[in-house]
Amino acid sequence: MTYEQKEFTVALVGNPNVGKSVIFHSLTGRYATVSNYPGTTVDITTGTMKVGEHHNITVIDTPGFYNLTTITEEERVTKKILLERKPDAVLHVIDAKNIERMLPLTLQLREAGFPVILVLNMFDELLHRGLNIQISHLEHDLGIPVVRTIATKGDGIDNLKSRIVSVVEDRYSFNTSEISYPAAIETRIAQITSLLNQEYPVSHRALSLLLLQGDEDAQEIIKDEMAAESVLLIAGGIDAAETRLAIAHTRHKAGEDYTSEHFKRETAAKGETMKKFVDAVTMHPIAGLVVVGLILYYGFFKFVGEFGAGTLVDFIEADIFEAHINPYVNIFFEKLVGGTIFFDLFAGEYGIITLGVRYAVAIVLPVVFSFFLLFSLLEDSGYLTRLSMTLNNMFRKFGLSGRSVIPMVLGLGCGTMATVVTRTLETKRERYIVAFLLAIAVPCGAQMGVILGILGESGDPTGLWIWFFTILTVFILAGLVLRRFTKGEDATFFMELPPIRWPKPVNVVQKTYNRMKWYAIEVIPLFIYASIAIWVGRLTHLFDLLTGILKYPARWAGLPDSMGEIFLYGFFRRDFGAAGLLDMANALSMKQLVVSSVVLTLFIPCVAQFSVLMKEQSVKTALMMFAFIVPFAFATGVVLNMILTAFGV
Amino acid sequence: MKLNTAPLNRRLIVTEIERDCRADFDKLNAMGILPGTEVTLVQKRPTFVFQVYHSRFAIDDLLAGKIHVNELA
Repeated sequence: MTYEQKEFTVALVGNPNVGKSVIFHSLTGRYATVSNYPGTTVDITTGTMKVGEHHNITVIDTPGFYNLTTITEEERVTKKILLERKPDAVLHVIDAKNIERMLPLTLQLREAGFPVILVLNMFDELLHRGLNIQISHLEHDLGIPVVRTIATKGDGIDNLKSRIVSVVEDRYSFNTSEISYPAAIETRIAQITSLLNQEYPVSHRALSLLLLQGDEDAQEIIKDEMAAESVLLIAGGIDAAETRLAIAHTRHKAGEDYTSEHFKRETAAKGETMKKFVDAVTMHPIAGLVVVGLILYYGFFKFVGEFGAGTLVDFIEADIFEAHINPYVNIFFEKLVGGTIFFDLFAGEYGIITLGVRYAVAIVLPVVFSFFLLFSLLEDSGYLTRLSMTLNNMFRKFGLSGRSVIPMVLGLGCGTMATVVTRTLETKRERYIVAFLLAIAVPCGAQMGVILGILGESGDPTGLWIWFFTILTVFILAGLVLRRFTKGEDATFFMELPPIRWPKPVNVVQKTYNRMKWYAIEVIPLFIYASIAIWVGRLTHLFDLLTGILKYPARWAGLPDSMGEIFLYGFFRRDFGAAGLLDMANALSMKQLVVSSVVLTLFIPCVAQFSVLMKEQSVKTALMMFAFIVPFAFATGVVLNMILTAFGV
Repeated sequence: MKLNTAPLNRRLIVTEIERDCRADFDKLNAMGILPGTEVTLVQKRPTFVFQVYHSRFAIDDLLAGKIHVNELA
């Protein structure tokens, strides 16, 4: 007997924080960056699940999703995937203990006609609380497959796979009862469905419900209907907000009916004293701030700054590159192309290998590694949300919400990645303010590492403090000014607080690895292009012209002419400039080091961040920021130099 | 009363959600915070924290002021 190879598509949907990405990994064997935090799964991840020899099932991991009437861009992306890819199975992954709150989406997906499998994940947390769900009864009543999983431990995944196969092969008979809405809504559903003649990826009933709630995507979908106008007229004849509320209410009641029978408390909750303690401390108005301080000091300053950017960088750079690689590279290319212009392309002071690869591997990678390790730990422990909560009031002064804390913190690692993550913020204004602050006053990990090295080396922390307070002042002033002069309402803050969890080392390592991989793929080519650009720029004397121009503002800030060159390289990578500064640190006075560190930090972001900025905002906005930031950075340098000189530093 | 003035650790029932901002209103709805839902306010600073079913939400006073509640006897 021969089988043909079958191709199917499965989509994972669900709220953020329910472990979708871990399930995705378990199914496909590929780990996506887990979005423990709303919004860190920015891109859609696709993988292949193999079952036996005959099934290749494409699995799509979607961003957090609450409802088919979408609000955020990410939800719209998920909706598009559902409508356009028409998956053969939709896995609705939920946090089992929150079944009451999440079941309405399951019902909504069924109503739309999707072949839904309900995945009750994090089942262990439910059992810990002394609760239980009678799966087979629930499955019978819902008329859809229901699977319990503990994805972080791999429990229930085999069962889930076999249920997926039976659904995609159309061997499961779905039998869900229809939800009845209030009469006023049902009448209109009947009127609209009678007018819809075409076939859609979702049921006519679901489409009618979306139309009654004023959903714009649904209005777009039905625009080719003969009776489109009449449909819109019927849909528009009822208050959309009122209808949304009534529909949500009916679905929740239906969800409660299902759960009231099969979701029970069996024993008392098991106390986890340590977790409760950490939970209470991190959420406390004052102790929470102390924790933020401790994490900033020990995590960012000591671990990322001193260990990552100090110890690790020194080892890789001095003991490996300077001692064992660069001399041989120089000798090799000297023999091969010595004396020609091509020698400088690969070797010498600015060569692809001696500069590009060395900076990428020796200076940036260790910093990025230690930063992402820390970030993944904080993320998996459920701490990031608490950080947002603690800093929410402070961020409000800038017109931002606590949500913006995440891209800001991420910006301390990589501004490019952070700028991409701004798209998870809900308002345009908030995205703009955060992107601007990231571009001007948030130093990336690599840059900060080098600056800590330069200013901290002397053993006298004064320079570091001056740098820190100047940047902080600029950050605060820029935030206040941006809030004052950008239109729109202040962002509101609303986030789910996940319980404190002990991070699983395997997941943290995987996540760190994936982020580093993203970084390597995105960054190493840029370092190489930058080396090539520098080579071309020097060869054509274009750089001489630009550094010739940049030396004037450098002079005004009391810096040597050669700083012009470093500022220019700073654009190719923020840390290129900083690392260049490190190379000439011995020739500068403390005052010059502080001023140039400040100018470099404020100076325009690197090429990568700039190109992402153009994409996330607009070319015009990015250019306007550019036009503001460059003179502003130098002006701050000039003023700082004057102040320091006046104080006799 | 509104959630931002409600007493801590009491059983409260949501009676109404003000809807001057569609996105806020819809998000609360989608998260299952609807008229009729039982919530408990557990903390007021640095942000408001309330419990619904088995999860907790952090919310600022702006949004908390849009949720009307009654205390359950």
